[in-house]
Amino acid sequence: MPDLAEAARSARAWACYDCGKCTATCPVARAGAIYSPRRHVLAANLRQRDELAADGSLASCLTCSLCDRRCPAQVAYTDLVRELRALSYNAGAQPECPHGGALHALMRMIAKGSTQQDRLGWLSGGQDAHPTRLVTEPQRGQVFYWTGCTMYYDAFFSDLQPATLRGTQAAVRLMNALGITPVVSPNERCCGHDLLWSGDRQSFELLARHNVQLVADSGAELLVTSCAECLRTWKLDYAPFFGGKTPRIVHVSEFLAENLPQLRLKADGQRRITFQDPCRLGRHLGIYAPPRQVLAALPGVELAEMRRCGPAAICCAGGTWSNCDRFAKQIQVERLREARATGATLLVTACPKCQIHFRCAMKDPKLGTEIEIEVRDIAELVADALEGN
Amino acid sequence: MDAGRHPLIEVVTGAEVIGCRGAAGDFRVRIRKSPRYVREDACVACGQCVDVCPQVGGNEFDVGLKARKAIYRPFPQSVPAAYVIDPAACLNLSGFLSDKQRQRLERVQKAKKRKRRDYGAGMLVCGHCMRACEVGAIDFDMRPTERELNVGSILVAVGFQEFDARQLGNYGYGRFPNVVTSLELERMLNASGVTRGHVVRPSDRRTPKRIVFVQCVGARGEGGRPYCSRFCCMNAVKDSMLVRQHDPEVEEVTILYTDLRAFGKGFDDFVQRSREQASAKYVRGRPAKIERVPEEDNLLVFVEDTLGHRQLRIPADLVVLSVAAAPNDGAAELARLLGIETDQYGFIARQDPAISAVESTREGVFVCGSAVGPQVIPDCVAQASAAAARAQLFLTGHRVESGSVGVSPASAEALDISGPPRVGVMVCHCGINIAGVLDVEDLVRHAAALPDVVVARHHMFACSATGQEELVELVREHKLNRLVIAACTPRTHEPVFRETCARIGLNPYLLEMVNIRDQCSWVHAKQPEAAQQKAHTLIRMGVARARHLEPLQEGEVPMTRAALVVGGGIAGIQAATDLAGQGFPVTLVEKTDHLGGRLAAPNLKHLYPNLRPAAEVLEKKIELLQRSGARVLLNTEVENISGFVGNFEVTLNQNAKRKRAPETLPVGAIILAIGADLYDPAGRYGYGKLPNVLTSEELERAFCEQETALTLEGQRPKSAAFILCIGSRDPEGFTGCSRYCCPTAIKQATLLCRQGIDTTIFYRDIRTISTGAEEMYRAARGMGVLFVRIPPDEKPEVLGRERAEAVRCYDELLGRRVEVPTDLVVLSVGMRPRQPDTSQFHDLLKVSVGLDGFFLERHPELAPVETAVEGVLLAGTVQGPKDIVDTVAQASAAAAKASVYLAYDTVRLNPAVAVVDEDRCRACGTCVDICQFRAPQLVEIEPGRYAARVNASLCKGCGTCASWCPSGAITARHFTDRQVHAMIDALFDGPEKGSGVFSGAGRDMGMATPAEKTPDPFSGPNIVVFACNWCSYAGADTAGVSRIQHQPHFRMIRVMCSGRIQPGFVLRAFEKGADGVLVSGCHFGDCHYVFGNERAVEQFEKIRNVVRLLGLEEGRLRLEWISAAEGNRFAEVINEFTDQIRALGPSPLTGKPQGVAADA
Repeated sequence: MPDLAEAARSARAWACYDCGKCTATCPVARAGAIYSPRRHVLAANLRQRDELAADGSLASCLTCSLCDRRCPAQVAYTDLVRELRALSYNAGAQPECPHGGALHALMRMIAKGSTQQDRLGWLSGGQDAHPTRLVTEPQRGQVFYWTGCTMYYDAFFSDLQPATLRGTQAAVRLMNALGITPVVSPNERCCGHDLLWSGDRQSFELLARHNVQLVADSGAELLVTSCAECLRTWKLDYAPFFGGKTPRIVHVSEFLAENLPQLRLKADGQRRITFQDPCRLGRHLGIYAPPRQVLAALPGVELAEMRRCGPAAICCAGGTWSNCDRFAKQIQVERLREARATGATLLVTACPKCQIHFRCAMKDPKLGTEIEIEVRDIAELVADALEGN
Repeated sequence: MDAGRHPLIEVVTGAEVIGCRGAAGDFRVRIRKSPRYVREDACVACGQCVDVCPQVGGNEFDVGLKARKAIYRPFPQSVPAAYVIDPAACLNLSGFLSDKQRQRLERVQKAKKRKRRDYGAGMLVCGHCMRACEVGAIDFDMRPTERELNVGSILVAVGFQEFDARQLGNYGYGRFPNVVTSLELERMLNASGVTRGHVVRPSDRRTPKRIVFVQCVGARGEGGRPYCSRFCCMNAVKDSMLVRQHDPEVEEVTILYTDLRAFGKGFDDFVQRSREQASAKYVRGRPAKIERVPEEDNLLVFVEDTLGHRQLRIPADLVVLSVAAAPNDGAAELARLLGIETDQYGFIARQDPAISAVESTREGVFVCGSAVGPQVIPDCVAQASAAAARAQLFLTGHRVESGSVGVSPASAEALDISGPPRVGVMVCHCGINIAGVLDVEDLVRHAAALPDVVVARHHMFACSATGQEELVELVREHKLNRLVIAACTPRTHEPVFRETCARIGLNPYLLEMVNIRDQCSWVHAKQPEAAQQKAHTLIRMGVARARHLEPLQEGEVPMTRAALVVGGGIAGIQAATDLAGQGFPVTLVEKTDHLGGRLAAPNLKHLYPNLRPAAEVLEKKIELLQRSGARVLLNTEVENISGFVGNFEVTLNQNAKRKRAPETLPVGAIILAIGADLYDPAGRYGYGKLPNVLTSEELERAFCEQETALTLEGQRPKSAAFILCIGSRDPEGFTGCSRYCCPTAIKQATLLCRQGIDTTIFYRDIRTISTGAEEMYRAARGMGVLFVRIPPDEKPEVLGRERAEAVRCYDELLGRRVEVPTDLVVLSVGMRPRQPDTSQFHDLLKVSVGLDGFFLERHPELAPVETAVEGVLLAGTVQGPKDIVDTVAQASAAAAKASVYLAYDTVRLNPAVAVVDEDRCRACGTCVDICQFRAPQLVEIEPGRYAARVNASLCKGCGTCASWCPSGAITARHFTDRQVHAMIDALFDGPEKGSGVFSGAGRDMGMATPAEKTPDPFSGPNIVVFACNWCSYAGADTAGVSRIQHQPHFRMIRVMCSGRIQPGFVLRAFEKGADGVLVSGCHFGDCHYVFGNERAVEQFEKIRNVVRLLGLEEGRLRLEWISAAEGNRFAEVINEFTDQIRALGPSPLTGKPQGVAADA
C-alpha cells in the first residue's frame, strides 16, 4: 500500500500550483460545503496526515473528476482521493456511511464469496415490463453480460420504488433480439467499485480476482455491462488482474451503437428526452458519443441536452454510497432543474446509481412536483422501441 | 440507598422515640440516638478497623449464623455506610475485663473527666481500631444524644420480627441444628451472607440432599397466632427455586403446606414453575413432629399427606420452618408513646381494617408495611407510598415548590472529559449473584486489557455506598471520562450509577452498564464456562460502546400542575381526594351518573372483615372527596389524550344529553382507576339457565335489597353452596388469583349461616390474606360453614334440571366424590380487565398490558403503581385483582407518585433523543412521515432551504427516524450508529476470535452424548440479538429474575425500540461473523413508541430480501415479538433459534473467503 508520499506522487499532486481552480470547480464546494480539494492536495504534499483526517471531508468528494478536467497542472485529484481513502481505511478510520453502512457491509459479504447468491431471479422476475422470455447462458459463451447489482438496489431501496432491474432486463432482451445468448453468471460478484473507492482494497481485490477468473472461464470475447461504474472498474481497475486473453469490455450504449443497423426500431409517439452523462462513463472513460448515437437512432425521440453536458456534465452526486448530505441533494436538485429546463419529459441515464439518486432527490415535500421527471435506463428505451414487442 | 442519598431525607440510625407531644400538623417527637462510637461523617467504610478488631460479637443480621467483629457494618448496602461498634462486645465498653484492663479503663475515664481530650489509643484497653483508622473516625466519647423533632405527621414502619419457633417444641427448633428458620435459610441464600449463597446443614456444613419446608409455623392457629403471615408461601416457593439453582446437589425439595397462598400477580405461575423447574414437591399437611435419626444423621418429618391420604415419614437433611411474623417487641411501647392503638396481637392497629390502608387510630400518625401485620413486598411498597401521600396532607406549606431544590444532587462542577477515552471498568460481584457463577477477577483482567481501559476493578456490591465511593475515587484518581459497570440490568440500576456520576460532575451519559447478572450468571448458571465467555464478550462490547459515548445535557419543559383521575370508584375517589387535599387541581371523571363504583348500592352491603356497611364507608369517602376541592365530572368520558408527562391534553366528552362541546383539559399526570370487570360465568354451572344459580355479586345485591332474611323466588333457601375460583386460576382464562373472592365468600357464607342456612364452600385453596380475614375464616368454620377442597383439574357439577338441586364434586381431602344438596348455588366470580375501557386507554396512552390483560406496573416490587409511561399511574383493580383495602392503599400511592410530578414547575426532558445534522439533512421528509409523535418537522432554516428539526419535548427517543434517514443526518443520541457498530465489531473482534469461540462451552450443555467424546467445534453459534429496551430486553431481564435457564450463545444489543434496528446493524452483524441474527421487540400494539415495531417489520422485510439475494439461509434471520412479561418465551425463542442455527451450521460468511480469490 503506497504511503502518503507515494499517493501524492502517483496522483501528480506535486505539480499543484495551489491555484484553487479545483475548489472553484467542485460541485460540492459550489453547493456550499466547506470543502476544498486544494487543501487535500496541499496536505498530502506536506504529508499532514492529521489535517487530512481532521474534518472527515475525504468522503465528501464525489470522485466525479470534474476538477481533474479543469486542473491546469493535470493533478489527478480523483486518484489522490482514492489513495487517501485507502490510507485512512487501513488506519482503521471507517467513514460513517449513509444507510448505516448497510451497502458496504453487503458488498463485503459478497466479497467473501461463500454464499450462493440469487443472481438470476430477475430473469423471470415480475418487474419486467415485457414478459418475453429472456434467454441466457450460465457458463460459457461469446458474450458475457455483466449485470451489476441492480437486483440488490431494487430490494434495498424498495421505498423509493426504483426499477433499475428493468434496464438490466432490457439489455438482455436486446441481445436476444440480436440473436445473442449472453452469459449471465449465477456466480457474478459485485465488481467492488464502491469498496475500492471507499478505501477497502482488500475486499476489492478478492472481488477483482474472482470476477476476472469467472469471465475468463466463460471464454467470452466481449463483456457488456449496463453499469457505468462496473464498466470503469472492468476497464481500468481490473487491468492489473488480467492474465492471458482479455475480453473486449463495452458499455451497453456502445454495444447498442455498434449494432444499431441490426435493430429494427419503431416510433412510439414523439418525445423529448434529455441525457445524464454518468461521471464514470463520461469523464472517467471518455464515452460521450455512443449513447447519443443510440438516442438519435430512436424514431420519435428528440434529445435536448442539458446546460452542462458531455465533459462538463454534473454528476448524480452519490457515487460509492459514502456521501449523501444536503449538498449532494442540492447538486441533484439543480441537475433535475436543468433536466426540466430542457422541456424533456424523460431523463435517460446510463448508470443505475444515477437513477437511484435522482429518485431519492425527487422525494421532497417542499419542492413537490417542481423537480419531478421520469428517469430510465438507456437500454429500456431502446428495448421499448424494438419492433415486434 | 435512594433514601440515604436524598437531599430532603435525614436518616437517623440507632435511634428510638422516647416521647411525643402535640397534634397532627405539629408533633414534637423526642428521639434518643445511641452512640455509634464511629463518626458517620468521617468514616470511609474502608474496613481496616474490622481487620484488627480482636473481639467477636453476635450478628443479628445474619441471624447468628456468622460471627462478626465488635466493630462492624450491619450489611454491605447499609445506610449510612459508616461502621458501628457493638458496645456489648467491644473491650473498651464492656464489663468483661480483667483487673488490669479495668484499671486502664478507669485511667481513661479519669482522663476524660479532667476533660483531657487527647488520650491516645495507647491508653485504651484495646486501641486497635483507633490506631488502624486513618481518618480518625473512632470516638469512644460518644454519648447517647437526644433531640426533639418538629414534624407534621408521623409514619410508623417498624416492620415485624420473626416468631420464635422454640415455642413449638415438636418441630425441634433449637434442639436439632438442622432445623432452621426461613430467615436463616434466607441469610444462607444471600450472596454476601454466611455461606455465600449456598445452603448447608449447620451441623456439618454439608449440602443437604433433601430439604423439607414446613409452612405456617407459628401462624394460622399455632403458637397462639390465628393470622396468616401472607408472605411465607411465596417465600418458600422462591427459596425452593433458589436452592436448586445454587446447589444442584440438592435432590429433593418438599413443601408442607395447608393452603398455598399464591395470591399476587403472577404468583400461581411462579408456583407452577417451581414444580417444573425446581421439581419442588408440594405435600398438603402440617407435620406433627420432627425427629432426629442419630444413626443416619438426618431428620424425619411426621406428616399426613392429606391429599394422598397417607401417613408419611419424610426423611430430610434440612428442615426449614417458615416462621410467622410477630409484632416487634418494641411496637407496643412505641404505640403507647405515639398514642396509637395496637390490635389484639400487638401489631399497630389500623383505624378501620375494612377501609383504612394506612391510617392509625390517631390523626397524623400513619402506618405502613408489616407493622400492621405481615405483608408482601408489593403491598408494602404501595402502602408506603400511600402513607407518604396521606402524611403530606399535614405538611402543607412545607412542600418543595421549585425544581431547584428538588432531588437532583447538588451538581458538582463538570469534570474535564476532553481527550481520548479513558475508560474505567467496575465488575460487580453482586454478592454471589454474579461471582457465584463467574470468575470476577478473570473478567477484570479481561477488561483491563481492552483498548482505552485505564483501570478495571471489582467490588462486592458496586451499587452499595462503598462501591459508589470506590467508583468516585476511580474516576478522580484515573481521570476517567467513561465508565463501564459490569453488573446487573440498566433497567433498574442505571439511575443509581448515573446519579453517582452526576454527583461528581461526570456526565451521566458517559456511563455504560453491562448486564452480566441477568444475562450471564442468572440464566447460564449451569454453564459457567459459557457464561464466563459471554461475560467477556459483553464487557468488551460495553467498553467498545463506552468509547463512543457522548455527554448529553438534560432539558426542561414546564409542568402543568394538575391531574386527571379516570374512574369514580373507590380507587378514583381516594386518589383524587389525596391529590386535591395537597392543593393540586384534580379532575375526577366518571362515566356513569354516580360515584362509588362497586361499593355503591346496590352492589355491596358489608365490607369484610368487620361487616362495616359499604354505604356508610362510601358516604364518608365521598364527603372527604367533596371537601378536598377536587372537581368531579359525572356522565363524562375521556375521548382523547395527547401529549406527554407534564403536558397531557385530555378531551372530555360529557354525555350526549347535555350537548356540550367536548372540553379540553391540560394536565400533568393521569391516574387510571377504571376498575375491573367481574367474570361472566354464562353457560357454566347452569348459570343463566337455573334460576337459583347466582354470582357472588348478585347475592351481594340481594343482601342489599333485602333487609332481613334472604329470600329467593319467594322462598327462604335451606342450604347454599359457594363455588370458588370461577374465572380465576383458570388455565383457559385468567390464570391468576382474584384475591378478594375467598374472604368475600366467607363473609357471605357467614351471613347465610347466621340465617340458619346450611352453607358449604367448594374451594381450591383458602386464601384469606387480608387483615382479619383468616380470623373470619376460622370463625366461619367454627359456626358450621362446611369447606370442601376440590382438585384444580375437575370442576364441580351443578345438578338439577329446572333448578339447581345439588353440587357434586370430588372432595380431595376425603378422597371420594361427594354430593351436597343445595337450594342455592353461588358462583364466586373472579375479576378480569375492564373492557372496552382497558383497550381504549391502552390505545390512548400506550401503557403496556400484561399477559393477564391488566395494565402492567413498571415493576411489581419497586414501582407497583407506576407504568412505563411517565406520568401515568395505576390505582386499584386496573392493575390486577385486589380487595378494597389494597385498592385504597394503591390509590393513595398513585396520588403520592402523581404529586411527585406535580410538585415541580418543570419536567426534565430525556436528552437521549433524535437530533438532526442540518448539513446532512436532505429535507426528504421521511422522518416527518414516519414519526407519530410529530417530533420532526421540516423547517425553513434559510430562504428556500429546508431541514428537519426534532422537537425534543415531543421526541420519545425511539430512534426509528434515525434508522430511516437516508443520509444518516439523524443521530439517535445514546444509541448512535457508531455506538452500535462498535458493539457489533467488539462482539466479533475478541481475543478468542478464531479459536472456536464456544467450543469449550458446548460440552457441559448436556448435548453431547457419551459416545461423542470429541467436542463439536460448532457447539456454540454466534447469535446477535437486537432487543428493544421496553419489551424484549425486559423480557430477558424477566428470564433472569426468574432464573430461566437457556442457551448461552447469543449476545444482546439493546436499543430503545425495534424501530431503531436498521438494515446496517443486521448486515454488519452478518458481515462480522454472526451465524444468526434475532430482531426482537414488543408485540404489535404494545410498542412503547406506538409504531416503532411496525416500522421494524418494514425494515426487516428489506433485510430479508437482501439476505435472500445474498444467499444466506433465511433461517439465520428471525423476527420475534417478546414482551417484558414473557421471560419464559424469551428463553424458548433463544433455545429454539439456537437449535435452528446449530442445525444450519456456521454461517458461510465466517470462513475464509471462497472461490478463486481464496487461492490467490
